[in-house]
Amino acid sequence: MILQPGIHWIKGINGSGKSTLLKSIAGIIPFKGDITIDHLSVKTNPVPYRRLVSYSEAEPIYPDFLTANDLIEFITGARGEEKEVKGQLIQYFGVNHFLFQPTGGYSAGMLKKLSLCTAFLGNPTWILLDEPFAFLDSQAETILIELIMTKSKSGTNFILTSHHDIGHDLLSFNSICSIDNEKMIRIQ
Amino acid sequence: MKDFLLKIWVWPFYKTYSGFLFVSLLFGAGLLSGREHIAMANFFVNSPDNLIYPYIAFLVYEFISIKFSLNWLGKPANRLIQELLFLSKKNRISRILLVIFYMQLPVSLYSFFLMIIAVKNGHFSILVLILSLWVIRNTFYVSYINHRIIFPAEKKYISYIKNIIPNWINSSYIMFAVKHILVNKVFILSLTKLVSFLILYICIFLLPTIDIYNRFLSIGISFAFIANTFLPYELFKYHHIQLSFIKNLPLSKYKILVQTGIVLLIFLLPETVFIFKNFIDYISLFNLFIIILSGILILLLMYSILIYYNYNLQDFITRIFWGSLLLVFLFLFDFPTYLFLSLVGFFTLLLFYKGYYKFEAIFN
Repeated sequence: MILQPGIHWIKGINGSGKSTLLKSIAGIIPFKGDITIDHLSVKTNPVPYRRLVSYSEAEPIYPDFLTANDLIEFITGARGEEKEVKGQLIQYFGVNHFLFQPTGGYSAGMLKKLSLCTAFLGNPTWILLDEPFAFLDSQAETILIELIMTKSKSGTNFILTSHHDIGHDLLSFNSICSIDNEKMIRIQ
Repeated sequence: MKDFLLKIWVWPFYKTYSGFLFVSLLFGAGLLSGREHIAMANFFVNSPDNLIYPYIAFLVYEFISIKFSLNWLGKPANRLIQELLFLSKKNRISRILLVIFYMQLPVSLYSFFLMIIAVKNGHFSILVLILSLWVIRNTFYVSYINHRIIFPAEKKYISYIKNIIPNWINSSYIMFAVKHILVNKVFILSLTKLVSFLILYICIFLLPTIDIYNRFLSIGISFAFIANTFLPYELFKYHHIQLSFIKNLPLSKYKILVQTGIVLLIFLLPETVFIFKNFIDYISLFNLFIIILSGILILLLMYSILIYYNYNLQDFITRIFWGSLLLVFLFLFDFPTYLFLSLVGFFTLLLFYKGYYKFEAIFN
């Protein structure tokens, strides 16, 4: 299956395999076959491939003693990002309000904001967002939609998953797919 | 409420540490007769200095139960307990007291036994001391748990460490791993160090009587390092579960391997310093360096084996057992040290290189 550049929405009921698919694309879990981006394979070119893909989990888990700052600094160190852009992302997602607090005390919404913020770091070609609007307040939802549209215009591609409708009127999807019975079907 | 708290907080503690309690009971009660118990208690209550011995055991018990309670309350599945405790401050304190009363029962019963013996012997000052210590210990326990429930993520010594270390080191993989061990595994780390130093002390004790220094030292030092086996397993588990997001980052295999090696070196520093300080008279500096390096490499090989084969704890321990036996035979038959070092290094690199980025981990 080939996904063209753009924004893609993968629908599916709970347990249909949306997160598994995204984790496979992100290189986090093993799978049979291969996935390539710009002729770089996740299996044979693991490091260059991972520079092109970043992933935000549906329900992120981090060691509870680490702060958002620790994690952002670590990911920036691995992916590379300009200080100014990093600061902007932190501001956009409102992570600056809890930047130096350990993640153990975060609510689900704060963890989600941190996870989304880290997914945008390092200028990846593809950003995979698993249930991106879960746990977010309406203000953060609007910011996220704006950011996706802005990034999309500058050439970043997105794969979003959700089991319910997501900003369909605000986001212009290039394709909408559905996962059913371990098969992905293009429905639009 | 009492039954509910006992069921979801106290019983899991006794179940988790049933092995530890069984061994303690076996040593404490099974090996001594009633008369010997009384004689030992007489010794304990004879002076405040003697009272230190049971109190070391009490403190270990208290430390284990505090550690358990914090981990237990921190689990998302047990958030209900925290919500129940938060209903009001008065309720919270009384409920924590109730839990601690049941959790500390073995220690409290023994304290009570010591108090009776103290009264029988007419040591009333000791009786007051035991009572005061009992109150102090339990007050500390209640206030600490209460404080940590209100500020669950606060760990003062960690924030202290953070303040004195530059930001770029703080946010490195090495520090993530070091902090994890210091925050979550400090008890098992202490036990490990106890065992490994015990082995090294035995080496010092026997060294003057042994002719073949190299062979004996190689076995001793290797075993002291192998005693730290929990480190590679813990780092592997930590990497695959709590730091799973790392697998999406463009990090080279060698960088991860080298950083894991540095983490191991940091935790093995006490043994390394001890070995250099005490064995330098018996063996050349270079040979000592080679033996220590092979000790660290053995642990790194274990990490690579875990990455490649994804063993669960039981399978891993079985392999460690057989591996240790093989190691003894290798040293007994004077297997060349350099060849051994090269082989360990080669297999470490091979398994890590082939296994990393495969992520066939059972944890997924």
